[in-house]
Amino acid sequence: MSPSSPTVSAPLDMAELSALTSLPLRARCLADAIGAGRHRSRRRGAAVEFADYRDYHPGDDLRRVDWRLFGRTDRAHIREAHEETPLRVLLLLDVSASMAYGSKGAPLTKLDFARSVLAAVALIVRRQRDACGIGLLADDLVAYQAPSASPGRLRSVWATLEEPAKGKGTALAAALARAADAAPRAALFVLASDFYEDPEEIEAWTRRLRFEGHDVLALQICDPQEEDFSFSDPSQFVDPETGAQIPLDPAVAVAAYRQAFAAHRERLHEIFLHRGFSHLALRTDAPPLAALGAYLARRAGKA
Amino acid sequence: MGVLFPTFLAGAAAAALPVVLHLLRRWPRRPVVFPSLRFLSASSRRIESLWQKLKRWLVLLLRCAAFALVAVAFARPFRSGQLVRQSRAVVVVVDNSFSLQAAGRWDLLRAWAVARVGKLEPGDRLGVLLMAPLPAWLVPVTTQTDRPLAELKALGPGWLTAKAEPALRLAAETLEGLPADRREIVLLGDHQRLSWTGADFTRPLPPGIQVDFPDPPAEPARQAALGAPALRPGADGLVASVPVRNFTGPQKRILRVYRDGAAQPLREENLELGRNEARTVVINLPGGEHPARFRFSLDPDDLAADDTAYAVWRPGADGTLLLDPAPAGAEADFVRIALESAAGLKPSLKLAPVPAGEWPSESIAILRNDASFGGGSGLRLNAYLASGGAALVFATGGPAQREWLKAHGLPLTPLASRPGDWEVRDWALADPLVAELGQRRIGVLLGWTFSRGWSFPADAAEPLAHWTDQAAAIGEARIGGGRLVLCGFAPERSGGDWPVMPAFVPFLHQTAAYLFRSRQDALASDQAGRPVTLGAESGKWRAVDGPEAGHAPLDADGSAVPMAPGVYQFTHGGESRFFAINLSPDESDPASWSGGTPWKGLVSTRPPPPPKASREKLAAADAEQQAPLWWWAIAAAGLLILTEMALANRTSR
Repeated sequence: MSPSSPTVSAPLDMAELSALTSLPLRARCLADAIGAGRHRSRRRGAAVEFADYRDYHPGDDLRRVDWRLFGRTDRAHIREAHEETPLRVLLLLDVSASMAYGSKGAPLTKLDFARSVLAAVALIVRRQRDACGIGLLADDLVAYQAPSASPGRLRSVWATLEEPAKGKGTALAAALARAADAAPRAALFVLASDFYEDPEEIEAWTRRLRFEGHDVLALQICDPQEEDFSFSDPSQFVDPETGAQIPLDPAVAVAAYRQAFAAHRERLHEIFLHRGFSHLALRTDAPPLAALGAYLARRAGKA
Repeated sequence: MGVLFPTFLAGAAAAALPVVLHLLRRWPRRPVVFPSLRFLSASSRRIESLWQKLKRWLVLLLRCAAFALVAVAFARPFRSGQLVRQSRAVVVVVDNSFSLQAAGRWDLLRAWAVARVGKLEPGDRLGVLLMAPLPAWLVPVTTQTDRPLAELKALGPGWLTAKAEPALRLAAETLEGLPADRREIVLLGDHQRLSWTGADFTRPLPPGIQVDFPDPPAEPARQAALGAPALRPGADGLVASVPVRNFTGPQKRILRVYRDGAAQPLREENLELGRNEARTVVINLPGGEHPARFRFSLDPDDLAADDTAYAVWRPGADGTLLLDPAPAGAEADFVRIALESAAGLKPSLKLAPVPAGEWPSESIAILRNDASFGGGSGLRLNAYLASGGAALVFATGGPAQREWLKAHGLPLTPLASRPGDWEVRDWALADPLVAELGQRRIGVLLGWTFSRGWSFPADAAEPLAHWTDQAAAIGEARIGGGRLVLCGFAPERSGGDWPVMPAFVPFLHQTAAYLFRSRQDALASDQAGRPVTLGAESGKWRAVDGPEAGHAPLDADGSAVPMAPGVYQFTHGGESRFFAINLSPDESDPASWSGGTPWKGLVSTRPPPPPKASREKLAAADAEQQAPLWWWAIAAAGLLILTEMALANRTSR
């Protein structure tokens, strides 16, 4: 199976994307725009595409001896080739109350945006005939489907994404731990969340996943208003998860807010990169194509 | 600055509402859901930026000002400075009689009146009141002074006669109730003697009314007038009697007669009129068989309006008598026999049966049959009288006749039986008809005895003769526009020997002739400004000759009031009738009042009453109406509200 480099094949308008009410349609639209191909396995085995030679050891399958090389070197070598193995991808969606936020100018809420992106990833995974599963995260792992390469899995994943259970509070670290417990070995975790969690808890989780041989693509979704904090009038600001209220004049608080938000994002970026994982910051008012396309390109090169 | 309704200013207290809210709600309570509160520093809580503080106080100020302005608008403010200025209320009383048509008189007096009105300021009032035919507002007193001034400048003298005093009093009463510091009447008139005749100069107008009287204008040097011509059948056509009166020195005039609107005169008479001479010019005219209309014109003098007079001739007016059938069972038709025997008398009369359709109003009806008063015939009789017809009615005692007479206010009462006959006596010798009857031989009025008869109330008809008990026996009544001579006896021998007495034929002939003359006089007496009876029908009314000829026809129903002389045509269905309308002869006398200037006594010398509170209020209301500041207050409040909406806290998601 020959690999192909993922490229961004078509521009995407977020307004048009938000106008598509069907999640599968959005997923196809996103996936087609990303235009990702199939990946290669990191494992080697007996397959068509050459990988390397090694010395013959008693017990090896004589059919794998390269007899032409034996004729030239008078030594028996085993020909190794890349083995195409199914990738196990576990999509994790944060469905806490904070993800339901969508500011006035944003075309999608964070949750809708994350659902669209994960649905597109599921489609790409399916097109590569890899295994795909899903888990919904709130204060716990509220729904879970183990990765499977069966044709019906894509539909069940989409169905889960279509109407995800909405959690109230946030206990992202605990939910992630539960997902790690349930995940098979060497899986790729595609996690979509706003990551309103203590970064140290996130770091502990990444440390465990690294140890267990998993890979992680962290998609940090944020609303433009969360990043810009462009409110103008004093108001009672209410936290949707805790119900806490803060009377605030945005003009007074904007500088400190932006600084704290950027620091939090930077810290998350460091945590994931430190473990060799990927971290993409996505805004709901911008197409995720460039970031995802670059990631998939990197991943194809890594493989 | 003042206000009309100060109570509404209390509404400004509502401005305290935003202040209270401002104090109670120092921080907006509107929640804004925002998920990343963890990044907001607690130290920023309840800290306002300087701009927000300024904006909040500015919004508070705008809200308070908006409430206050709305309250001020409801209080209806006005600039009290407007009340300080001396406001004027002026009424121009216009003598629109035709004497103002004298050469140069109208333009001179109108220019004088406009000059007296002078320059009017905003808040001043002006109205124009016409004297004739009755005082009526051409433009009621209004603060929009341009319109009455324009109407006055476009106005011309009329064709009627006018009295000054009623118009002056109406103008003064109107001015008395107006909120003004100066109340003025400007009289546009020529002080013609007729216009002041009957005025009570000892009763002044209300105090505080100033009247500007013009000086009497110069009298015309050459003035004569034509009266209403009368047409009668003559030996070889028609005979026109035209009254002519000279109001100035001796003068030679030419009288021309035009027929049916022709440009060439039919007759031309040279007149030499002595000083103040009044004469009747008799002119023989051809024709008489067909309807005709005539215009009699003098060559113009200084007052041309009355140099033309009009007359119409209707063929039916040549002496046609409509005679209904004698009652069934009558011994003989004494009336017909008598009238036929009088055929040789002057004026000659022609007998005709009562038609089945409309009765021609120019003819005279003699009715003695009960059937003539019932059903459709009664209705035709009503229409005939309404259009000016005349009838001689003999009481027969029939139910239809009694019912018809009762419906017209002439209930018949049968005479009681008595030992001797009832006698008709106590004639009203001053009455023209009776005078003419008794003129030749007084014996004609004697010896009228009846064994039965009917009386009627003396107040329902003008009695010409009485029964023995002084009840009315013969009377003359006006019904609609027509005339009725009612005899309380029947022309039958069963009631007495009167039908065979010598008085019978003269009575019938003279009464019919009298009714004809009355009819002609009525036709000739139609004057401009007075209603003309047309009958009950509706139709079109238009002038075919005279100043208003060529105007669009008007709808007329029953009567019309011509405002100018001329010949008018009333068209109803396929038929039409002509009416000659002439001017009042009194107005032709151009003489001014000769007894000094008594009209100045109309101006009260008493000081005007102090302004009442209600008048001050009216003045304030007027000032407020002149400059509606409330509108500006509302507009300013609206602007403030819009600004408030732009500045106030409208937190978005």
